[in-house]
Amino acid sequence: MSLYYFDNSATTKPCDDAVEAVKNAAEVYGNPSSLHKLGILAENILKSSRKTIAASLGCDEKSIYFTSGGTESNNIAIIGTAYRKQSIGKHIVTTKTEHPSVLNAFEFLESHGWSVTYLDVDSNGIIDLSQLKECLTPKTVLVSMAHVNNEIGSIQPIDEVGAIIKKTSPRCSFHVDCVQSYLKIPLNLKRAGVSLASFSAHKVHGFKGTGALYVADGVNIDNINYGGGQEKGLRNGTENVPGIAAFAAAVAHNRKLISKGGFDKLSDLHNKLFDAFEAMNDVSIMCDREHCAPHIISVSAKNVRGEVLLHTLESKDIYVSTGSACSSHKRNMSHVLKARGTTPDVAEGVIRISLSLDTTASEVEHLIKCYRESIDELNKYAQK
Amino acid sequence: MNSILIAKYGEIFLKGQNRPFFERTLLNNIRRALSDLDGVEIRKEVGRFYITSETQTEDDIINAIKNVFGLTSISVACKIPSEMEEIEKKIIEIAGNMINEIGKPTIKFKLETKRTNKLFPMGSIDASRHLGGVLLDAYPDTLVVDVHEPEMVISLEIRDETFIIERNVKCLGGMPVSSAGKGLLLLSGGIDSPVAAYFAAKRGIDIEAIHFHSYPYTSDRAKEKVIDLLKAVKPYCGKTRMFVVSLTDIQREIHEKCPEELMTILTRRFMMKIADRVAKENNCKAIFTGESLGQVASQTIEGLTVTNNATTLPVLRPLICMDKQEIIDIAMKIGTHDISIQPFEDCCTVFQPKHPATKPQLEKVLEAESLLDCEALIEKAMQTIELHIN
Repeated sequence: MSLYYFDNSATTKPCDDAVEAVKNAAEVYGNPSSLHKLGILAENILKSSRKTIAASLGCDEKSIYFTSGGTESNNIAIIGTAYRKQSIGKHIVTTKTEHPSVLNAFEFLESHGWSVTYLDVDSNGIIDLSQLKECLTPKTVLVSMAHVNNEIGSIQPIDEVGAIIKKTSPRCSFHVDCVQSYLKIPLNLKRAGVSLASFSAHKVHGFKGTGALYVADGVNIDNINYGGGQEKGLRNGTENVPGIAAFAAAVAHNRKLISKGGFDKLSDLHNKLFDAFEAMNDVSIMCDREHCAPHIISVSAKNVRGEVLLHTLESKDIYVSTGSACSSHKRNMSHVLKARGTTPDVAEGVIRISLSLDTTASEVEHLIKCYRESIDELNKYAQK
Repeated sequence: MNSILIAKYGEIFLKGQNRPFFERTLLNNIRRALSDLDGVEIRKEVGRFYITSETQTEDDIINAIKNVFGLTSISVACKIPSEMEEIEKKIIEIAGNMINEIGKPTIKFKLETKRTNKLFPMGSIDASRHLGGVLLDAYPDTLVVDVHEPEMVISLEIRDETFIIERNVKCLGGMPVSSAGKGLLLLSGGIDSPVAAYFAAKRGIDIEAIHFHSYPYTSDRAKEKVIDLLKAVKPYCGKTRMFVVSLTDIQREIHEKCPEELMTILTRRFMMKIADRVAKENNCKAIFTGESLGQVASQTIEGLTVTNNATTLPVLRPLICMDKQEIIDIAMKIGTHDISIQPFEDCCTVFQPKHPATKPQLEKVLEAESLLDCEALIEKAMQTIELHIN
């Protein structure tokens, strides 16, 4: 069965190299903390994996901490920073369109005495830099935002944000959730003045249950879990060696594709999608071309409910999602769509199409054709 | 386990010549409920079953059978010879354990005796009085008699052998599943229909289920959900077969050709017509639904009249006069509520009109229906049937 998978922002198919890496690591089943040979071999896998991830980010290995995924990285970065810096101040800043693992961490801190500024976004989901400037005070200790929004693909101006923070609040940490942007959009963490960044393996053809946190040199945070001191005490618990090995293998696979022009190819496919959807009068796009990450496009067709369209496409072996997979069971409008000022009618119709570096032009063409057909088919029976 | 379990049944006992049929059905259902537990012996006696096992614990057995309809109670008892000396020795021991467990300096107690063995030298009342005295002598500082508000009750049944009851577990009553034949339940995935399944089973119906979906307007998760619901009611209803039918084409056709306000009632009629066929093909003698009077537009007397007209089978509605909250309470008790409230679209809300007819008139509905090729639509829907067995 040929299957057209366009839900890569929810998760990706593990690549062959990642599967192979798991198999190999399973043979080296020692605990990386054990003193014997099998333990040392396992530790070596961690070391070389750390090196691979660090190289992909242009940073030192010492800055990479393995975690269980994006959610845990975000939690450690946000809560760990807030607790470490509470003597300096208890003001923290994020945006209204963050992933729940960020928003809910902020809400937790808010209920424990921190004051939080939630930045507004415009119709493309982008923050207003002057609002950020205005809210920063000497008591601001953390600004956290996603590089790329998971639901509509908006790219935040990370370099500019980093520069503003550096200039007005030098003691403030800057956390960037890079889960969606990693290996899709280049980002120079050092140049942008990023203190902490989150990554996930399963969004880049690795496995679920593995991720990483980047902690810039000289940045200190509190640990939020307790245990045997793994990952320098920041993420206690025996390391997921096979998952980490697969993460590194997947990263290497992605970088190979990128070196062969992967970014340009992705851009071409994305433009193809924009051209097609912009030409459809009854379809609106949630984030315009120049602000949108090259692997995500969220669209809404008039009078067609997203969920129904999703199942119609599913019956043609095409997989997309409505909103983000984590919130699609809730009936309420997604907070991201709400923040960008989407009307309920439009929000009901939104589906997200997300690509990976493996997506091909013929797959995208097939999707466009089936999307149009499905809408026309459903419109015949649209609500009177 | 060292104890013996006494499983008692109620209403069946009143049956006349066909009592053996009911007892046999109940015994089969108990055996089925115990099928995962090895090494359990069941012996039938008049009005009760004795259950023993060397390998299984009493709690495991009780949990497996306490929801079998037809049983009224399960007693955990120890069995000894019907000789006064033995009885005295044993109740002193059992009372001692109970006293330790309650752990109070003085305990009000009651001792009750049922003597069915007329050869036993003492009557029920005399035996109670005598054995009560024995306990008072054994624990003079702790026990006081109080037959009205006892904190500790010791019951004895003196038969050919004597049973001293340590505790009683109340069961659900009702009639053994299958003793009333098969019925077809319309199972939507909401809160009501699983509760209707529970009640139908309670009166001895062997439930088969029919579920309608409108893919792509509904999701496959809605189907997973009804499968989970059937698993949840399995301790009550036993194994269930489910027919899954696509209504998509029918609903599209109605939407296109019929007045908007009749969408819901016409859909309900098609469900009934399809259920009627499936029921007859599978030997089900009635259709069950979770409808409750006045709950939604199609559940008015007028609405029910119009749906009833679509089948010749009796349509039984166990929840007809229950409030939503009463239904929710039972759904919580039987463990279906949390599954039911998962928010997946069900096919009743697809194409839902803004103002459905609350008092539909049969002639007008039939007139609207005549715009459709019902026979062909139903035939086509029957082709989509998938069978699930849980």
